[in-house]
Amino acid sequence: MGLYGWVGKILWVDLTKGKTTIDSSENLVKRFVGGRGVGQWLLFSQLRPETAPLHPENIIVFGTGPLTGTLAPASCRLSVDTKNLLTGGVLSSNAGGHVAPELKYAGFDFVAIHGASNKPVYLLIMDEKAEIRDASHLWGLSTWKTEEILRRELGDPKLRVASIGAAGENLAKPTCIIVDRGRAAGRGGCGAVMGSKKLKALAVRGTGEVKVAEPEKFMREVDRLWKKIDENEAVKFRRDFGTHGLLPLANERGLVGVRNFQDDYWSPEKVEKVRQEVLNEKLEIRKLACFNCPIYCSHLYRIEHGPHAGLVSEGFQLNLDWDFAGKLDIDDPVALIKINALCSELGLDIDNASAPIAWAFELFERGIIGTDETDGLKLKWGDADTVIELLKKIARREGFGKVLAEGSKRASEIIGRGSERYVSHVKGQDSIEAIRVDKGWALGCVTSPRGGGHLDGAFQSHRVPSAGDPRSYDSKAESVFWFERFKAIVDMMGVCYFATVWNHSDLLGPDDFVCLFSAATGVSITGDILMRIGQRVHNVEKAFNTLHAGFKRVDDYPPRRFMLESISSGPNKGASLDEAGWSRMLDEYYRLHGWDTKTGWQTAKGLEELGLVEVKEKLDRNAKLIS
Amino acid sequence: MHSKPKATHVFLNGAHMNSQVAMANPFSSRSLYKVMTTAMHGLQPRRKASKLVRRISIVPDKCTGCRSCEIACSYHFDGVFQPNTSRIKISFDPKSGDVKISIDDGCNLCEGEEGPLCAKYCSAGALIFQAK
Repeated sequence: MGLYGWVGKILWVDLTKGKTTIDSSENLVKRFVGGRGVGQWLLFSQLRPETAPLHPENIIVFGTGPLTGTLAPASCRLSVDTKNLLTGGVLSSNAGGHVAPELKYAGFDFVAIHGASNKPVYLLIMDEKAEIRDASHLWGLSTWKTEEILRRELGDPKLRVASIGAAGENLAKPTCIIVDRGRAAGRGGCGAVMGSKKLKALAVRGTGEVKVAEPEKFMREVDRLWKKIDENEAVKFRRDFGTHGLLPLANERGLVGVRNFQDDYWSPEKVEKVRQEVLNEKLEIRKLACFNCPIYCSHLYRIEHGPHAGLVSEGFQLNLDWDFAGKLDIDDPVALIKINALCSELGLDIDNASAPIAWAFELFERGIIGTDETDGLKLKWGDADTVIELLKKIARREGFGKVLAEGSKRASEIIGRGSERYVSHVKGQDSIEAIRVDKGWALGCVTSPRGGGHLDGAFQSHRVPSAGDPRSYDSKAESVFWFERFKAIVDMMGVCYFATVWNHSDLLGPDDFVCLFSAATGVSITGDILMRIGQRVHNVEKAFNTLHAGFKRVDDYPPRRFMLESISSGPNKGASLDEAGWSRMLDEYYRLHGWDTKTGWQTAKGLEELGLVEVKEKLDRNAKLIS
Repeated sequence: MHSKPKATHVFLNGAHMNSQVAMANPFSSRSLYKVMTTAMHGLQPRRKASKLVRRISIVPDKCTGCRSCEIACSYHFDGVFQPNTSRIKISFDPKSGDVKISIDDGCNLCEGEEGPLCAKYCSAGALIFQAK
């Protein structure tokens, strides 16, 4: 009997030998479902702790889920799993767009790449075949140009491309992988991991099919969920204004870091200047969606006038507001669109690229660095041209850009002179979220295995009634524990988190995934079992971090700045994190996981209960298990 | 529960349909349809039993490029998700932002369904089914 939902194959690529092999993915998906689950398991079981992220032995896995490519709403995500260049621990990231479903139509659930080529190559995947091809002519080109040339060369406008830009080629740390020009698998420096393998792009085209086990049942579920999404208020809002539309509200809730987190409240006048409605009226030319997404939260803009006239670019998500509006105080929406586009072209991760720049701006303001170190640039808050200049320098790893390309933690070790104090990082990776107000948001961000990030256990307390007062440390750990497991399910299925209860309580929850998954694969499952698989994945990641990066309890503490300095203006004035409250919340979180509260490590009993015997044994062999 | 159109593949209510053939192989009836229905590109089918005008009107400006229509279309014909075989095709030019939507002669307005699936799953309102 064939597989349903999954297409049943994994493509192994050894770039050192220049060889590709095709294997069955059946055993992998039986245990870890898909996407992030399988990717993380491959990393855990195959990578040695001493392997550096940019070493040829590092593996990068591109994964889809059993729902990817079907009519299940928002089933578009491409999981990217590799060893994290900024933390030395895990990275699981994912991107929307159309590459993931195309990969399944081409006959593959996963592509796992290891080794390194000695000359630039790209990987062409077409209908159950793969070929490593010369990419000398693409090296140095932008991700946009790369996509354009590959489509032209191969004569197929429907070719889908995931690629890196100059930043990834030059091994800058704040890099990502760009899918369909405007979608990014960000964080963790995965662009540089591809660059270290001299792998410029994945070019994918498939004419095959994805079958589901029980089509009629599956379509009934699809219809039910489609309706749920269509009628949802939060979805309507995202369609109109994207996540960027949340800026005014986010600002009121203390979720927007300002000037390198000197404050978490941006001037309402500036918010007004860049808010979505302004953009909708003036610059938007189309609403855009990822593959099969009824939420269509993305927008396409055209700049008509000024120095960036002629630019057509997608995307203005709330991250752009956090990264470049608030954190660098840029209130010109056109400049922000330009910055976003430039990062996409260069393959820079907007989150990780903005952080060291904002940090440098603060050092300059405080006189810790001067123009002799910044290649003559005067770093003045709000100056978009200087930011653009620095982004290009980071991508080329040139001059001051070479320092910033290390990420702010490493950069502060190079600069010294007290500059460390102004770095906000989690587990070595730049921090992007403002977390002084909402403690549920804070705990989830800080404990995220990838090293900071709101896309694991973090949740906004006002969306979860049981979490109570956002400012209180009470009742947060339980929800973080719940969302961690749930997010792992979503990432294994290949669906976008925005379509779920994380976004709005009426959207897709575990039981909905049970229905979709069962009808798609023919495998019966319950919500509890799915949540348990989610917990397994989270524990595999946790163990990877312990083994590879040596993380302990201390690494689950927030950046010092958020404890030492409180918010200085706006409705949340005075809010900060305190160590006693944090410790109490962290204890509760560890206890829910069955982890040791003293070290933060996993226990033999907890891992046995989860059926993760190999994980237990590996930790034990490395003396990092609490018995 | 909301009442909603059924997305099933039973083609038994068509007066011109051989029910045994349809039941035996409900998901590979493409050639069968070619023969039994008028090709309806555009789309103004001639219905013998009624004077219904059924068509899909297309509003390219509203298209988000999500391609739900393509996979829904392939599902109607083949019972699988396979945009390559869909009768409707979306092409998006990222440089200009233009979208082109084409529907080929194989479209049968999802005979057997309450309406074309492409329009049903077009959340953005770029494809609208009209029956009057």
